[in-house]
Amino acid sequence: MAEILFNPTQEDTLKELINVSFGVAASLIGDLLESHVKLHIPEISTIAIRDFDAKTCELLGDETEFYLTKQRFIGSFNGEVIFIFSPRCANAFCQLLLRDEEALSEMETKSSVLELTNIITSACISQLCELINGKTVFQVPSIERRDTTQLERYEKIIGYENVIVIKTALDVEDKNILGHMFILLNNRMLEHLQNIMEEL
Amino acid sequence: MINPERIIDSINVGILIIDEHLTLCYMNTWFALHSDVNALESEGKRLTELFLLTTEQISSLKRHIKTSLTLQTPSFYTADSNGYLFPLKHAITTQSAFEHMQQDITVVPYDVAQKKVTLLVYDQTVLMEEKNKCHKESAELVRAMKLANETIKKLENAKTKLVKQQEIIYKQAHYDSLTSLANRTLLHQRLQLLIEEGFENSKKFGVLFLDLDHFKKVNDTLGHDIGDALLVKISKILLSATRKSDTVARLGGDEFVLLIDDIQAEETLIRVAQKIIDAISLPLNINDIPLHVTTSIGISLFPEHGSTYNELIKNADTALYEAKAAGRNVYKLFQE
Amino acid sequence: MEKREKLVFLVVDDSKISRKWLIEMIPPKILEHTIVIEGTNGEEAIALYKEHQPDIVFLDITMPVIDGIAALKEIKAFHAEAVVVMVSADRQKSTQEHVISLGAHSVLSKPVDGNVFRTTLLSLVA
Repeated sequence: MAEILFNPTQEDTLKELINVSFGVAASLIGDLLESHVKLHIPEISTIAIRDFDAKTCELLGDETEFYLTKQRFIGSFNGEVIFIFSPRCANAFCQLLLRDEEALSEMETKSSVLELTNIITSACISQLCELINGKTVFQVPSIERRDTTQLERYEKIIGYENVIVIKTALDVEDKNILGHMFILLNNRMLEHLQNIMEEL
Repeated sequence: MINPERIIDSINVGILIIDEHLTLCYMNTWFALHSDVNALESEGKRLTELFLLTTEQISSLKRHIKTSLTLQTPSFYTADSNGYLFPLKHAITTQSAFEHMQQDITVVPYDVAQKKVTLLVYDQTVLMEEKNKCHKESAELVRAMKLANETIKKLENAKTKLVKQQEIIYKQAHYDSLTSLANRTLLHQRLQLLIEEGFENSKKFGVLFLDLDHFKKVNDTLGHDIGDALLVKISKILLSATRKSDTVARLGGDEFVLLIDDIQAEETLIRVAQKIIDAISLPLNINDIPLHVTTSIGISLFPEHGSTYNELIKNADTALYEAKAAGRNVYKLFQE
Repeated sequence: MEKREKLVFLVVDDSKISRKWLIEMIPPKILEHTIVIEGTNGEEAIALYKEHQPDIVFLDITMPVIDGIAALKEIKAFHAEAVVVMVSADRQKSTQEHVISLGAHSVLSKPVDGNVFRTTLLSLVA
């Protein structure tokens, strides 16, 4: 399923940028949670957009329900960021953020997940945008609960051909919060990114 | 030159500038009108003095401010997952599901050094109202679909049951319960069919009327259980001595009728009859009791010996009587 | 600092681009008097330190095989005087305080700010 989009040099650069972005994000998340956050070295892979649904199912394993967040960024650097979280991880993060051990409402969980993804997205996209000397504006994100058994029911993603898949694992206190970030790029944007990374 | 303030005060978006301690630095006209607050008098006051905010809303707002200032990017509240932050009136004049205006809020850095941010407040009540309606409708649809599916399933189950019952009824009406052979009704139907086909295609067929010799003695001396077991055994012998396309029927008691279809000449019938007589006369073992039975057979032929059910059966029966009279364990072809 | 003809810097990071970015920030005047040795993980950092006894070590924290923190401990155990500047994407106070307590000279957060880097470097080679 994997589709090679970057050569080893480009991949090294991308990894380092994501690593730095995650450091920035982890530091802010740690501040907000008033706790030490361990962010793992990000695992990065690339796929074609047609494999997006299959990849989602693969990453979720036995879980069928999941939260999906979407946020577009437009400008000279443009694309879309999607995150998926299992309900268990989403709830775990919500409990940490709201410092609440009780069962939390759907709205609380959703808004907590959006706060988390907003931070990681901002950190990553800002770094990538800076690299290509671009300008980008973030659009209002959205979140919904989905089911892997009904993937054909949801609107298909169009306008992008390539996906960078980043595993995001945060260790906070005794909890391990696992999510998956997808950066969707069209061919033109990908080529631009590849060229810049090659020149460095 | 443009006048930004004019635009800010006529725009359909709420604009607030606040610092990290939630002190209000600026409020535009839109926000003042929707919140019933005097913009100028409010400047310098804390948002918590102006609005009823919960502890969680306050910490959430502070987190958004921190995110926005640290990353120098916008941080978002969505009506979808937050409902509202400021208890503002909404502009809907019909009955609404919402008490307060549903808000999308974008927190953008205004002055990073002074830790000030701008809050852009968008009224999303109408959108949320529509979304709610859609949700409700789709939930109802899902419920209706579920109900329909359940009903279909029930109907299908009932249909399956009915088909099964029909099969049972048909079987009871057309087959003999002891031997599972065709009964008199089915025999009548099959024979009628053969007659029609025979006329149409000038085909010959034979009727074998069969009666065990001295069967009554078996019943009387060994009991009905053995008698019944013997009949079952005999029916198996008859089935294996005939083709699948032939009909083997039990009329009752120890009387059997066989329809042997598609024969070229009466020799074929004679061969079948002899085969049956030979097979039955072999020693049998019924429930560990060794038995020796014989049978007599009367034969009638279509179209030579009749062209109706009654004629053919009656003539085969007459031939059977001849066979019995001739000392049993033999077959007789009907003679005019 | 021990007198040698040239300065020796050891730059350890699993990312090639990251090492390149760091080396590019060294002012040319210093670079012409410097030998830069590169390593890609904690294990290499320890071996290269023992072999070359560099004047300054720039050490990344999150690395495969042996991470920067374990390498720092080993280098300090080998040579208590070692000058180790940690370079890390982990900018949390707790992490920074931890490595300082283990004997790191200072911590630079990634992306490394050019001015902060030069100030640190100048204070060390002065």
